Amino acid sequence: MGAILGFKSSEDPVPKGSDLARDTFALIIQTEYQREVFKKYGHAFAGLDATHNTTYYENTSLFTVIVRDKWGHGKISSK
Amino acid sequence: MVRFHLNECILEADINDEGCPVAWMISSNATEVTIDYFLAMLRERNPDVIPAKMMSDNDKAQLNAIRRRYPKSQLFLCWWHVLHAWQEHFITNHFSELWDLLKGWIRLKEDERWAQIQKLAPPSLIQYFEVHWLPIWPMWSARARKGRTIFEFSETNMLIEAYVFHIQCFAIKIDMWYDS
Repeated sequence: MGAILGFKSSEDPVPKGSDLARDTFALIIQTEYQREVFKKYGHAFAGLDATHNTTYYENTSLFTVIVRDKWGHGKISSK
Repeated sequence: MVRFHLNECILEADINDEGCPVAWMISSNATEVTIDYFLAMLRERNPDVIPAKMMSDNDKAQLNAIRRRYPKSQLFLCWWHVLHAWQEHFITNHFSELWDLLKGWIRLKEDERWAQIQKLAPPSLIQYFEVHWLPIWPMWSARARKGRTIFEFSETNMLIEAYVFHIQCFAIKIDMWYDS
């Protein structure tokens, strides 16, 4: 399963079932490792936050969903 | 290379004990429908994962999208953002005793402080709290955060801000590596 959960360029048609504005750009990413961690720890707590101007492109937002492990911090990858 | 970069970013956040990012969206706007699209895709790919508690900024677009896609999750507001909103409604230097009370109020497990706050606060601030904050006290008060497991223990979203800072530092390191 790929890491791209969703992608729409500013010129792509609006995906079915969404109300996105026609000119919206959106790229959603979840790697396999992130999926495993979400499955393991996401049932308890998840935080959602937006940070602005974190990329080269002006006025873009980076949204992040984050989870915590039993020690209250992130799990070290077994990669 | 993309895969390598993403995993390194996750590791960088992990090693610094700031929580583990489990999904990202880069978008050209932060409207409710765009956030809703993000959470809809996340829910679709991870149908069995329903967080018992979810935390967000005091941002209506985020809160509405969470309520729509994760209606069974209990919603908490990040304490940093709550206090930030409060302090913008009065001059804290002029009401230092009141400000100390408010900073402590959010952490109290029992509600015995509102009467004290009313004695010190100007009428406009009392009205602000009565209209905007008292009706949603379970979202911000420690009274609603009793008995959580350590998995659920988080009072602010600042770990996300912190990890984004590390990603930015890491990106700079990669740039320097490419340039050398």
